[in-house]
Amino acid sequence: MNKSLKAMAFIIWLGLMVWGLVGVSQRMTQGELLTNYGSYVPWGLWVAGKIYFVGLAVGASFLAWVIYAFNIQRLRPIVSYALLLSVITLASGLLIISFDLGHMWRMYEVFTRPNFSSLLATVTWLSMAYLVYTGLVLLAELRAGQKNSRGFRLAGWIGILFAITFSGANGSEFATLISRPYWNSALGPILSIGGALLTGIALVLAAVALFPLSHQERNEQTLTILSRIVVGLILFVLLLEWSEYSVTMWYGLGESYSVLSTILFGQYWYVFWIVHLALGSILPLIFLLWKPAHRTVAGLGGALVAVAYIAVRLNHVIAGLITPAMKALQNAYVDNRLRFEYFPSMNEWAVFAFTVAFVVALFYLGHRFLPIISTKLPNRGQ
Amino acid sequence: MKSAQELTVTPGGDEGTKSDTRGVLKKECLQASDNASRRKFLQSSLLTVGSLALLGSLPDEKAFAGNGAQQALPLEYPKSFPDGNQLERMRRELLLSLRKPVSERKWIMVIDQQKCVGCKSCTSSCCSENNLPPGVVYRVVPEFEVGKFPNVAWVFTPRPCMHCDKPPCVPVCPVKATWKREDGIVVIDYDICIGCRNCLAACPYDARTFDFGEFYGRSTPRVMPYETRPNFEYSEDWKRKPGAQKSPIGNARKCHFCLHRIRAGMLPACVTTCIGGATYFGDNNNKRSLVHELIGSGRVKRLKEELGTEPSVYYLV
Repeated sequence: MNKSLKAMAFIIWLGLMVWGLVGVSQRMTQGELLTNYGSYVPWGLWVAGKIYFVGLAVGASFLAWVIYAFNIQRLRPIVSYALLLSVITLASGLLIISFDLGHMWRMYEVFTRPNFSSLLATVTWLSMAYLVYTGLVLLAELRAGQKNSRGFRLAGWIGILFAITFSGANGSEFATLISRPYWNSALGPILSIGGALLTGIALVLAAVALFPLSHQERNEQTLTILSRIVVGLILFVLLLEWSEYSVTMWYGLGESYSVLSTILFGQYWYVFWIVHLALGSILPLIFLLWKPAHRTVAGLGGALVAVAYIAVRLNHVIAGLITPAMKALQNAYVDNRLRFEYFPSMNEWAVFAFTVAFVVALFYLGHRFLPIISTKLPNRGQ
Repeated sequence: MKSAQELTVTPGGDEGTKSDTRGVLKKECLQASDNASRRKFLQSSLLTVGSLALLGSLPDEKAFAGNGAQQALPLEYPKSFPDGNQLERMRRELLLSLRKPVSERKWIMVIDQQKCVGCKSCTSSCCSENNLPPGVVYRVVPEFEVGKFPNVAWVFTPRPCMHCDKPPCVPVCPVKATWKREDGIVVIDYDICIGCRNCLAACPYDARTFDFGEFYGRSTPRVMPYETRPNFEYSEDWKRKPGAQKSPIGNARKCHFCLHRIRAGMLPACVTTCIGGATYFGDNNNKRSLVHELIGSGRVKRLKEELGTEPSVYYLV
């Protein structure tokens, strides 16, 4: 990366961090007064952010688990990347969701008096366990320096099961709520897993493109493989979405039909068509099929997929809540917090920006101070 | 069975087992000064009422007269009152049910939509009783038009918390801050609730609201004193102050059938203020109660029964 580009990146990061810190300080001093969600749409950008970051974490680490489990030597140098990204994004997911709590300092109660029938409690426990597990494997990887062992293979298999369970539970957190017909779908956990794999691996692709491996030939091979995986996953997720949308909307009836109509043709139609479909799916498909080994093109493709997927998470969270439980409820008691519409406030965006800046900073520090980039060829020393 | 004096109601719905660490009411309202004499009195009353019933007579009205839950009452009561005062009947039934252990009560509400005129006095009295801030509301009255001119009607559907027998909001709470009491009331412990709003998302009736810490006078030079006065939900004084992030600010909140009033022998505020007499409240375990009679009607329905939540609020359509 040349100097001027670095300087520009730093300025953008600094801007995000400063804005984010202002937002966080407002959140800490004024509670949730500056948020735009209410009682009828009780979750917003921060909850979407949580499932987005958790998805990134699961997807990135899943790549590492597969590399371990199937002993894929070609991709072994990127395991540290994947695990580091996973740890950072998962920690960020927990950070942003803590801002969403009315009493964030009581978060410890989820561990001291858990209700395991609640998927929220279960997911929180799984998050902590996954964070610890991924962190420990990352430490082992950094110490072992890409040496193979049965331990890593075992860690890979355990990780695969863990990742699927964790990601599935994340999707089930919404899918099990009978009160929300749009969420209450058996496809929910599968979409959660698909979205997680897609975004996490796309993020690793972007990271490898931005901070390449030292061996150029190896780097191009890695980019090509990752690009192909991401292309496959984009198509898989689009297939799932097609299934969900076409089945729900075919006869034009039912509550979920109106929800999906709102997503596709409502006030925020561009979130689906432009951000998700055009920028987050079609453009990356073109990039990744066109030049899968090209650092800039493939990296941009991966970054677009990873970043634009926040639109899907936002649509999923908000769309599930915008339908009134009862006819005429929206006019029964008029208050700003009792509306069935939502757009994030500046404070919510600022806290989200802080979390993004936090992720970038941690990754940069990790990349700089940890032996993440291998200077050796993967099979050397065995 | 425990005597009335021994009854203790805590948010856990357990009786006499939980020392009141969070300031919850320590004793149920029925505290006679002399338990032994009360028991004697009850026994004699029962005998008297039984004898009178055999003679086809009703006990004297004066036997019921008195002030609140401290009043000794007979175990039976007339099916209807000469003046048709259903509020008085429900109050007396309530007092009678309070004599039973919590586990033997089953509070339900019945709303007659034919009688509801949509005045929203229930909403107002609820807000007043619980000193509700902006954005927090326990009982709304959605209204919509049916038919086409000239054959039109307005339908009013007052919607408190349904206090479902299978409440979807309870199992989703990650910290067990909300639960269903033995008497059927779904409650929230504000001191435990972390404010995740999972219960709000899980409620199929949108009956829970979140306290964001709003005040009517937030953007004015001064918040008026009435906004910072305590409310007495769950028989504790909850004070809200602007800028403070102390419970109930930051908590999920909902209708609790005015549990603090019930404990004091009073009907919920929305029942007493309903100008059309459309809202009924009582113990469904009492086979002679007014609510038990009403839900035996063919007009009865419950909201979203297909979900299987078994609401404790019944509508007469």
